Amino acid sequence: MSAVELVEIEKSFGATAVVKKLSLEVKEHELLALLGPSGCGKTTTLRMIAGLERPDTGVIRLAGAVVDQGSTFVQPERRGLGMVFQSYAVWPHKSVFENVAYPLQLRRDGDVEARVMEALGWVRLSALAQRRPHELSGGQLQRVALARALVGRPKVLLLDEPLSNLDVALREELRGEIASLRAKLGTTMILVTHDQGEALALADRVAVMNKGVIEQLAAPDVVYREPATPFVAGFVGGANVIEGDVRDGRFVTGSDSFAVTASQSGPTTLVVRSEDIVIGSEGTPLTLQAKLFLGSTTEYRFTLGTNVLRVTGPSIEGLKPGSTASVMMKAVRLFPR
Amino acid sequence: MKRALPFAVALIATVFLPLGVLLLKSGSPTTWVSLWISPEAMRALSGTALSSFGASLVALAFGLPFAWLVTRSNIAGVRALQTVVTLPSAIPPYIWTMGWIALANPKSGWLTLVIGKGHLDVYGLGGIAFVLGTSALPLVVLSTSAALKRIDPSLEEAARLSGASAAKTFLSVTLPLITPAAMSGAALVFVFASASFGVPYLLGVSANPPTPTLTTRIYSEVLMGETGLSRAAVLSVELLLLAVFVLGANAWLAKSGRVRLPRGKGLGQKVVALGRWRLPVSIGAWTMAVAIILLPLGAVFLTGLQPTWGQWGSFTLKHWTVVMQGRTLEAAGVSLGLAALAAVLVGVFGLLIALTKQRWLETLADAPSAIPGTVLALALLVTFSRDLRFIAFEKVAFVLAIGNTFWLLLLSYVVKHLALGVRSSSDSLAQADPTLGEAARLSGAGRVRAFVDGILPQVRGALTGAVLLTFLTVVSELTMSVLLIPTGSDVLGTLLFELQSYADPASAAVIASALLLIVLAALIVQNLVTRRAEAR
Repeated sequence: MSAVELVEIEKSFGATAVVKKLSLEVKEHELLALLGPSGCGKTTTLRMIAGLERPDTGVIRLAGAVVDQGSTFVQPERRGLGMVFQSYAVWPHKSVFENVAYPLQLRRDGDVEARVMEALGWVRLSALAQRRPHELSGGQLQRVALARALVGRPKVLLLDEPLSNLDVALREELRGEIASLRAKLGTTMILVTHDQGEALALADRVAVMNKGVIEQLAAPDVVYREPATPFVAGFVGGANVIEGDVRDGRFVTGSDSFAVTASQSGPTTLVVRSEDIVIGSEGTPLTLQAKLFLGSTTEYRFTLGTNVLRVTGPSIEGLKPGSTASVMMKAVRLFPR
Repeated sequence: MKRALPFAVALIATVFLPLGVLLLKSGSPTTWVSLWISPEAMRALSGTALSSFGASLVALAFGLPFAWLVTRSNIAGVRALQTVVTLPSAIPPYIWTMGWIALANPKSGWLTLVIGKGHLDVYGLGGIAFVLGTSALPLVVLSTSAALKRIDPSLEEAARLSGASAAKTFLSVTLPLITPAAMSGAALVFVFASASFGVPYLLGVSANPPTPTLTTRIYSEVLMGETGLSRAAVLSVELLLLAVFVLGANAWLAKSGRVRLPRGKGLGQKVVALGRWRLPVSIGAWTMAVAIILLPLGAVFLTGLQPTWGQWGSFTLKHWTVVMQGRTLEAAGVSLGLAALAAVLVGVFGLLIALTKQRWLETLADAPSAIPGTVLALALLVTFSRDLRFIAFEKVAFVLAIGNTFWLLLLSYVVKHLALGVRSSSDSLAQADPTLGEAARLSGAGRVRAFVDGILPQVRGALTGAVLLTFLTVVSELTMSVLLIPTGSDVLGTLLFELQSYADPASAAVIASALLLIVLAALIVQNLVTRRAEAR
């Protein structure tokens, strides 16, 4: 049985369709990431699962039970979910302890104190239980939010861009904590993020969304290695996405062409990762536009027709903007248009 | 600093020195105890405290639901309702009082006759609190709905996800978060009510038993001349201390409450769909708004159209001839002239003070707005009037010779409303982009020219608003005018007040109606101007 199931969900705000015929199943104990650029409909999808928005059409089931379909609507507080918001949403008029205790008090569960302290222990905040929110840092606030969302042992934890308000170091720290909490508690989680690194590092499966539809739903390494569409390739891993034509076994764009192994010909989109391109003596001669030193690697930007071809690799002495070098593509993916 | 000094000296000479004089006038240590806690003083103090506290409760009771409904619900006619519930801020409280007297006086009020005699009496403490509370409604509505708009929606969503129902979420999250704003709105209502003169005078003096407040008591003492003056001074100091105490307590509570509203993402609040409750709630809210706000205004209009006071159902225009009488025209001319002059001076001095960029000077210029009008007027009176002059200032008062002239009245209007000009200027200057002025300088403009071309256009909108508001407030001002008006002259406020309380309520209603029409016209113009500015 799926923990969460969406069947042909549609949602529009005014004239703009935000989510289009979206179907999705989240398995129990799984961490599924909804990954995509802003405005792709990922947060709206999450909010519909939470019951904070209602779809125009479609069915939502939690653990097999319908929570939203036509006139059937289960209020958010009756869905047994936990949620962490991008803006923390820690209540400023309650202490850390009171924030985390709130869900338990509403359910009149016993043993509130012990369970709150246990949850605060999970996020290493036991010492700060009596603090007020305005005395805490952003990272600590988000840990409070995490403890509050988990203290009632929800069936599913919804995470809406939980790390994007934090600076880089804190983000990595909290990312590790989410992973270890998941290992400890086994909670099903849905993570909404625009950060591909976050999605790839944490998720069992990644759903890459664009313009209201899921373009690919697969394990992180599959999404990375075998992108199903040019959009996925471009968004995950930042591959070069170049439009052109395949003619006589060569991919042609502008006045440049590359040898490719292709069965079909005609208008084609070529996708190649920057690290899968070699600069050397063989291949197509291209003009270097710019050279960016990135630390462990160097990025070269070549002019390719009206496009820019990005190549990363070790620094090459003597290769300066304006000079020409031969470029060869090792692994390309072709998508007929 | 150098540029700030003349303003500081002027403010000290016209506000703070007179307050000091007033304090000295309040008696010597030997007479203090007997004056300060005399039974009359205590009765006036408790009248003010009780009616102001009552007004705060009334404003909260109506203001909180209205604030929520206009900011968060899909109630029918939400924009119109918002306009209606904030209307009282533009209309002087004594006009509401006149309406309520026509509606709910115990003998011939329209509502009294509908309900049956013996149930309604607008005179006395309860009536004062109710009328002051409803006419101060916008103070609570505006501060509370600003807080409601500022709450991050995810704070409430987090409560829903934690298992709280919509009602429980409102009680445990929304309400605590808007409480500080509602409380400071209520504190402002208290200060506004305690400083009010027209309402407690019209409803308190002829009540049975008479209900004195500090402001009405001060007025009566001043009318007695020199003998009543030290008693009036004592009551003034008590009134001032009460205002300072309430504002101070509110500031302290706000600080110790430690509730800071985090800024939301600017997501915009989600409107709560009332569903099947929409119709009954809309009807209930609109009925309430009409009853407490539009009905008394309608009663004022109708009073001016009745042949005999209290005779409902027949109409005449004969009272409207009062508008064309010499005394009315003269009072209107004085009021319009003084209001225009005061408004312009508030704008100019406000801008100049804000331009010095000295915080202490801005605070100094802000302070008079918190001083009850009665206290400020009395301080000016004892300091500058030749009849009531304080001995050390005899020479100054003689040289200035502004006692018993319109200049003293103008001075009181300007210092009392100066805060409007200073605050709007300094807020918009803080937001103005200085590089526009700097670009003008580098294009060859001089300092003044660069200010006029680069900075002034960015400040103009807010400043115009402050000038217009000052004009509207001053044109119908009563509290300070009754104390400072030169003998034998009138402004609209004092003329209205005299007609209503002694001679001719129908003529008073006509003048009030004319005043209302002017205010409504000004509001419509202002609305059109802002809308056009928004459209651009």
